[in-house]
Amino acid sequence: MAAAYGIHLGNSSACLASFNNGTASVIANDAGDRVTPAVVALNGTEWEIGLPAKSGQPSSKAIIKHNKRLMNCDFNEDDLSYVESSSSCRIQNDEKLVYEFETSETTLYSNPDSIAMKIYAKLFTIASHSMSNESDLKLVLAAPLHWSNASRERLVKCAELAGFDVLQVISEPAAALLAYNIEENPEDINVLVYRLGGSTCAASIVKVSGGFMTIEKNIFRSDLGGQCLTKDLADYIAQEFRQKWKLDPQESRRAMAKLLLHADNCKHVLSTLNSAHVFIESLLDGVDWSQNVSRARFENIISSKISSYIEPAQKLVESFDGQIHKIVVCGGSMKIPKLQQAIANLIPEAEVLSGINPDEVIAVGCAREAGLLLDVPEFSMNDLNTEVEFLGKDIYLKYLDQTVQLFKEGSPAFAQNIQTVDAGTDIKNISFSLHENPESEEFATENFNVENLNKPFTLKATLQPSSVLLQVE
Amino acid sequence: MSESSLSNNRRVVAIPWPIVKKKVECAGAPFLRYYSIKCHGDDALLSTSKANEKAEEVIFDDDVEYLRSLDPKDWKMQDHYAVLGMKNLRYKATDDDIKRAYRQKVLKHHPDKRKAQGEEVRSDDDYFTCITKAYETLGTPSKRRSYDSVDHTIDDSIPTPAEIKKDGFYKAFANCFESNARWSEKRNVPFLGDENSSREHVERFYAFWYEFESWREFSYLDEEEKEKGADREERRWIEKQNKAARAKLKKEEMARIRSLVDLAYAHDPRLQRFKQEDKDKKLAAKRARQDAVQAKKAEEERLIKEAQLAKQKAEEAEKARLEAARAEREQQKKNLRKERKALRDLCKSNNYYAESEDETVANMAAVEKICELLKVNELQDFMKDLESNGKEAFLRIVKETEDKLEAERKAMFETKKAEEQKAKKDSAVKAPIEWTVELTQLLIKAVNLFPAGTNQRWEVVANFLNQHGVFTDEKRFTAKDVLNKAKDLQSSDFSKSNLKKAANEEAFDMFEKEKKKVTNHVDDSGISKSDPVKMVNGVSNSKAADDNKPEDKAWTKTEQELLEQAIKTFPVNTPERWEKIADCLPNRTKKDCMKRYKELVELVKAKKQAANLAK
Repeated sequence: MAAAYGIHLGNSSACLASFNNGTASVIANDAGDRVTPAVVALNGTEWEIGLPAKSGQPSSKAIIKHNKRLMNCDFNEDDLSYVESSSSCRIQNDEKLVYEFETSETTLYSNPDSIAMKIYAKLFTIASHSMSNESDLKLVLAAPLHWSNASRERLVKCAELAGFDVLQVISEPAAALLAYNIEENPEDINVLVYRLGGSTCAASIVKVSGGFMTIEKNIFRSDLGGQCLTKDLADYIAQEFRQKWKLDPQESRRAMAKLLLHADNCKHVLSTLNSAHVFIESLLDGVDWSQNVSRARFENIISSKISSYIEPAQKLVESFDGQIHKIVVCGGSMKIPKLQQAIANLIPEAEVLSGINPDEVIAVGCAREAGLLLDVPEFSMNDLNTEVEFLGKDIYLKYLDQTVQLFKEGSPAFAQNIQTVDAGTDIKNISFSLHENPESEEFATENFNVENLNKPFTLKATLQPSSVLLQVE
Repeated sequence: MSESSLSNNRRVVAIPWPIVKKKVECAGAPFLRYYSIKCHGDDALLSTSKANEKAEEVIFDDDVEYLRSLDPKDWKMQDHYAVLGMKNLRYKATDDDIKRAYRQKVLKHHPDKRKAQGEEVRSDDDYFTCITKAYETLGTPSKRRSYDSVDHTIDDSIPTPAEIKKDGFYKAFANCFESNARWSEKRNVPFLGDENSSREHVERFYAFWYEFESWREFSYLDEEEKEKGADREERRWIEKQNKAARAKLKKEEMARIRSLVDLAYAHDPRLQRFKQEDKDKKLAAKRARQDAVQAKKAEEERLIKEAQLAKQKAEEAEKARLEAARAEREQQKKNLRKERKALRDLCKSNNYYAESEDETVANMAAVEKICELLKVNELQDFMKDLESNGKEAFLRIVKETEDKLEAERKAMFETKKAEEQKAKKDSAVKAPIEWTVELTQLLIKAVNLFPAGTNQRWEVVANFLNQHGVFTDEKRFTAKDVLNKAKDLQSSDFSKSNLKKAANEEAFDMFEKEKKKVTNHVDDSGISKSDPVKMVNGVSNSKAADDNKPEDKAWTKTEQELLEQAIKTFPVNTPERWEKIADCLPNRTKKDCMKRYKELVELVKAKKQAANLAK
């Protein structure tokens, strides 16, 4: 039996979910965290991935953060400088992108692909530990909407090198919707998917009709992320520290890095609890720091930024003419209750879905898709989206003295409608007529000889790309 | 609106308005359903969702008698499904079912419960152990698999040909494939299908079954349990035994599946139909090809026929034309003869316009000449002229004829001369270069210098000759000349040896000649100014070479013969014998002759001595 997994690899963190017995669940890593930081560090000759890389000493190591930005084939100079400034290694960009590390003995080189592969390999070990028996690890990945096919293929290649069997790459908004089973909604609805991650932000409006998702609008911002909030919190703590000890941690890189790390933890805690305790040992000049930060305090600090954080979503909603029924929030930063509230206030009539941890939503959606794909033999689809035939107008069915709506407008091809026809036991012939609407003339009439069928019999109608197949059984 | 009926209870109705195409994300159950129908023609998700639907509570049967009859020690032989009351569910039971069934059994049959109900329970071998064992087996996925693999209810049989004949292919195989499908590692095993299955489906079906991967394993049948081994060695031995047994069974299982698929493949009427279709198609294609070839052939034949006809016509026309020309010529000849005769007659009647006998004869000859020379119309003109002007005209024409003949003769002579001259010139140009001895030697040297295999050997050789040879005129060797000569030298052994020998023999003379030239140059009062040696006899040549005396002329064969003759004619006692002998030899003095004689005597003596020694 194959196991189905979904991975969302982001700029700052990666999440792994598995699909089991009809439900998708997140798998915790070896440290017990449900989300693994997408940080890779070289410590001596050993590669560290995840938490140890993130919380280690920044001065002595080569650390790579935000590798995903460079996994996109068409990254720009801003991305490059962003990654270079946040990572502690040099980046050469001659013909191919190369990370350059200086270890104590030699200079080592690496590239975004191999770094991504290391993260996938880490997740692969987590996934294979979670399994009771050995089998293929089927995987579905999520990729941002604006990525090209080539970038997605790079992603797939990295995951396959790590050991996964990649079934499909789906778009992040589609994965978010899948996580909440929104596509099974019988009515046509519009959903706003708002993702606010560590350093990027994306807002999309997805139209769901008859189970098919169509991306209506999309905005991507690479300058907006939760890291600014961490920075604000760290600045606040630094200010407190300065007031008390007259020492400025902002003058020391090492102290600031320590502060950022703790501020980050504090931020995460404040998303779920009302107050968080910050204790930093030997922050500066051997002085420890201990402080309680309440959620109210934190919200106060970030209050000035909130409007700018929901601005992309606001713009998108304003430009979209139509009602938005649901909002799906995803991305680590959307865990902050204040932000969730702000986005809910943007469209008061819409329902905000936040039952799944926002930073796990996309991975869960991928896992669900992987679970569904296990039942589809020989699936091969390289595109994020494709064209599907839909019915242009309603089709009504009339027989005897009854009228039923056979297919609604917008039904996809291969939709089925099964009607039970109870026409008495002695009927020999029956005629069905198809209409555009109940009042109009029929456009087709079919006579069936039902003498030999068991009564009451069923009429199975199947919508085909340009025709309707009627079957009586 | 178009409609077509497929069968009595299947109809396809066209929708009269256009369909709408929309871009959608490739994710989600509805999309995957759409995809699988579109790409594979079957609905994979529908079948699974159907399976999910049946979630109603199952009541597990409870056969206390059966449970009591079980021997806890022999748990391995028990029917675990029957113990848990799932006799009919068997492998179709979900993990959830098993769990629930076990719970029910525990609630009912736990020893404590029964004790409370006043039942007597033996603590050491109660049948409850069997229930726990059954759950242990079925509750663990791997153990359940190994038990399922060897479940006694499994029907491993393969339809026999008789059965296939009796039940028909689909009936005989459908169940068989269905029951075997559950061993598949992969989900969504394709069904056998029916008569109307598409070719693609049938191909996919056989492709799947020929690549069938079974999870069936036979560890449950292990004779001994590994854990029972007393020590590591024994355990290892047991493991080895078990492994071999399992591998054997697995192999048998694979062979069984294989033979099943082979059997189905051999009997599948659809495949036979497809094959027939293929064959028909091929045949049709072949026929079409043949037809095309035939048509082409016919066309070609037609063309050939036409060409032949045209040719025949042309030939006939040519023949007719020739015939006509011949007739005309004949006619002309006839006319000519007639005219000539008329002329002759006319001349005769006029007595050849002659006064004397001699003139008559001359004129007769002239008339004949005129007859020969003049053409029909000229003759006619002449006749007219002759009739009117008489002798004057005759004389004039005779003179004209004479002039004409003379001119012709002259022209002929001129051309002949010119031709001769031309031929002369040509021959002068074409005359091959003389192969002198030096050149031959040079050629031999060159041939040895540039052995066979040299690039463009004969050009190189020719160049070599041209460069090193001494030429009197502008003529130069070509590769062909050189090659011909070399072939000549080589072709017959005789000529080869002869020429080579000659060349070799002359080598020394050449050398001498060179030397002589040099000495002549140095010493003007050279002793001998006689001609350089001509053709030299072998023996004397070598002698001359040995003596190395410039004044010593070599004896030719004829000279030698003359000398011998003279010696014989003039016996020893003849007075002034040597003067007489010398007289017989035109180019020799008395002294020469005497010397030669002495030499010959010595030669004969030496020969005799040698012959005596040999004896």
